Amino acid sequence: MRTRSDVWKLPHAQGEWPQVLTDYERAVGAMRALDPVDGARPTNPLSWLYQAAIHGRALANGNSDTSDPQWSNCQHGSWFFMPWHRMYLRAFEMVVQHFLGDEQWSLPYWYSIDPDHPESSVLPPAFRDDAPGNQLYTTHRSQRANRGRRLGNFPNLATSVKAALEASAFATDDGTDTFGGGRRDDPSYFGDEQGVLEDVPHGTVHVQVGNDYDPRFGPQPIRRGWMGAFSTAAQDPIFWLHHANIDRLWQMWLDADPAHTNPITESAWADTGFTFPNPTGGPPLTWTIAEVIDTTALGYRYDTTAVPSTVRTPAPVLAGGGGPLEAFIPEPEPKPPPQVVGAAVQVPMIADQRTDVQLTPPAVIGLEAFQEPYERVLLRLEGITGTIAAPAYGIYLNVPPGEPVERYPERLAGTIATFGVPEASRTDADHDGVGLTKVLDITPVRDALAEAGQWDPENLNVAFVPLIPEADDDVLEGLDVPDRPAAVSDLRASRVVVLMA
Amino acid sequence: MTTVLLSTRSRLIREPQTWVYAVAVVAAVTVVGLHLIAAAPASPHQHAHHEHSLLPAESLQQSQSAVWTSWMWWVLMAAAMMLPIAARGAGRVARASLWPRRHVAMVEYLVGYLAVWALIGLGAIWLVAGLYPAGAPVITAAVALVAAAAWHVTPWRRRMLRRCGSAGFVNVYGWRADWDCAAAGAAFGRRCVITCGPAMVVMAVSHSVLLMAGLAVVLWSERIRGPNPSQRAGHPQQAWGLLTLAVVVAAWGPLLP
Repeated sequence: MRTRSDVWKLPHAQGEWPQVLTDYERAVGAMRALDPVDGARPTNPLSWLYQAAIHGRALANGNSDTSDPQWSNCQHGSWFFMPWHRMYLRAFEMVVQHFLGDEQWSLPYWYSIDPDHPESSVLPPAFRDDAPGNQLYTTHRSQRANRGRRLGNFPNLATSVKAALEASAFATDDGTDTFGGGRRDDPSYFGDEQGVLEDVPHGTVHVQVGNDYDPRFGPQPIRRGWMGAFSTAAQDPIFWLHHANIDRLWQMWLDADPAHTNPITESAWADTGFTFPNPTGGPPLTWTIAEVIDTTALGYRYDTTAVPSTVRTPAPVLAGGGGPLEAFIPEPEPKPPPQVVGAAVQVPMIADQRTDVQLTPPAVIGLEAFQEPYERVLLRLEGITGTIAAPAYGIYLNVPPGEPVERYPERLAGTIATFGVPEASRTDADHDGVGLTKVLDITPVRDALAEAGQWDPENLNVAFVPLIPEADDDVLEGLDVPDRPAAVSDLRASRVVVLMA
Repeated sequence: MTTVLLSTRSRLIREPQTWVYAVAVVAAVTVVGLHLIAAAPASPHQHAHHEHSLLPAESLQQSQSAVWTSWMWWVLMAAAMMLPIAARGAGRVARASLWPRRHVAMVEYLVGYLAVWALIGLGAIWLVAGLYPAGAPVITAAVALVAAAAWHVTPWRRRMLRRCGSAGFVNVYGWRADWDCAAAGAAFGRRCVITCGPAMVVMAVSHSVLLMAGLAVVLWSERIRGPNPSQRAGHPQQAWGLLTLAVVVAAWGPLLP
């Protein structure tokens, strides 16, 4: 059984790279050698650009290139996000093993969002080494990352990791409060509903490693890199290590709480299969999700899936179990779906513009005597679209008019990432451009406001604050932008909804 | 008993669109009932006419009232066949609305949805009545089914089907909520017309309940929940189903109930 290890903890001699990364660099070089030299379409399935195109590839007009049925197949915004990427990583790992002639080589992971170790958010040295010919280095990456800076707004990232690992369900119909995203079992599917893990923990790393921002120029990236877009993300060698960590967090979520389970009994999820090129030239690699939910069945495990110190874990169950009658206790009925208690439509998500959401008391549904009452308050941002956006936004509630939000940190409901929003906003042959949907649990803020006597049960005021990482002074070097005005974000939500759950 | 009632109640809360399926069943039963009434004792002359066309002879000969009668048939058939397809969208709009108006939201959604089908049906029936004053020949339905089978597997239809899901970003207060729900239903209806319209053309030239049932099964089958959703749209199995229906109509059209 192979072990995927933390890239920061790989053994190595002083001043040298870990052997795993040396091998990885060699394999990347071999794969790039198979790419067409003139920018033509890649045709060899083992080439670097072809492998990246499986995740995404764009046509000149920005739409997804699906001229090869294997391309632009990445699954985002649904319960397929986690399993598809697990298969993609495993197929890629097999390609690397093929080039190395070493079936024991394992993809390391980059735990860039470790709440207990912010220093691990620095890009590992092998990826920053700009020595000529280093296949792991690229200039198509943010300067911050290549200079060894930590990820910006790390406290928000850490909070989002905690929220993801405490999410109670893998999937729900509308993706509300899930680890893995919204259900998709019908060919005519609905909106793209991200799970909590896919949103900030996954998306922010993409955008911050990929793009450079400068607060003086607003939420528009001043330099776009590979990691910042679906269509190019997998061209950056760090992509695979980032996603190995996301894959590990799936196992971590399962291990964190016995109540955390995969929807394995749902055929629409478990029996869905995806196909990838076979590095040995044999028939394509095809897995169903049921075949990949256990990493050991794929031949690997992670060195650790211990949860961060901030994550709540359930108390251990005392030995003895529930006794012989336990098997006869009927399964509890699932809770009713969250109830909408207020909504505003067509909401601009820009700084200094706040939105009021009129609230009504939750209605009596008729099961109150038998079900747990609604306890939590959720804020769902539906149909987020736009082309100009900061990498992340902080969502603040009920900040008094005219007051800066920074003075009210306790009113921060959460953060959202914008990775994938431009792609989800584009209408093309296969997509309706309805944007992404994200959900925040605002119960703690509601409780804090209520305790302070500042919760208005009839109105909720929502403010969106762009979170733009600080830029180095020379970040504009080489760019022709000194007179460029600050960009204005066009980010908006089709609906901002308050729900009781 | 209490447990069963609670379970049912809980299910109805989680799936508020359940009654939409019941409405579709009522519409289907009504269609069958009307068909039986229309098929009751006919004159020898009418029998002779039935051997060459798919519509009751009298309904095609009494010009305007016959068109309206046919349109009523069409609307009922559309309700029976298409409401199950719209039910999930209706449920989504219900859950996106305030609890007290969830059923109102679904009614508005379905009115918007059926209005599109009703308008399309009116145009189609006028056209058929104009082209075939004495009733459409059997071969028309067979040709329409073959065309629908060809349309079924085109990439354009497959893409349109993938985009069929309506988002349900509706207002929750006032007339805007009413408007948004109806507009969401109409938007879904427009897409349904594009994806399923060619198959439904058959029902403008035929009132066969057997054909209606066969078509409904074909159209529903590709919307069944299950694995590999992105690969199921435009599956050739449904096209084969439509071709089979075409053969049945061509061979036994006038005899079909």
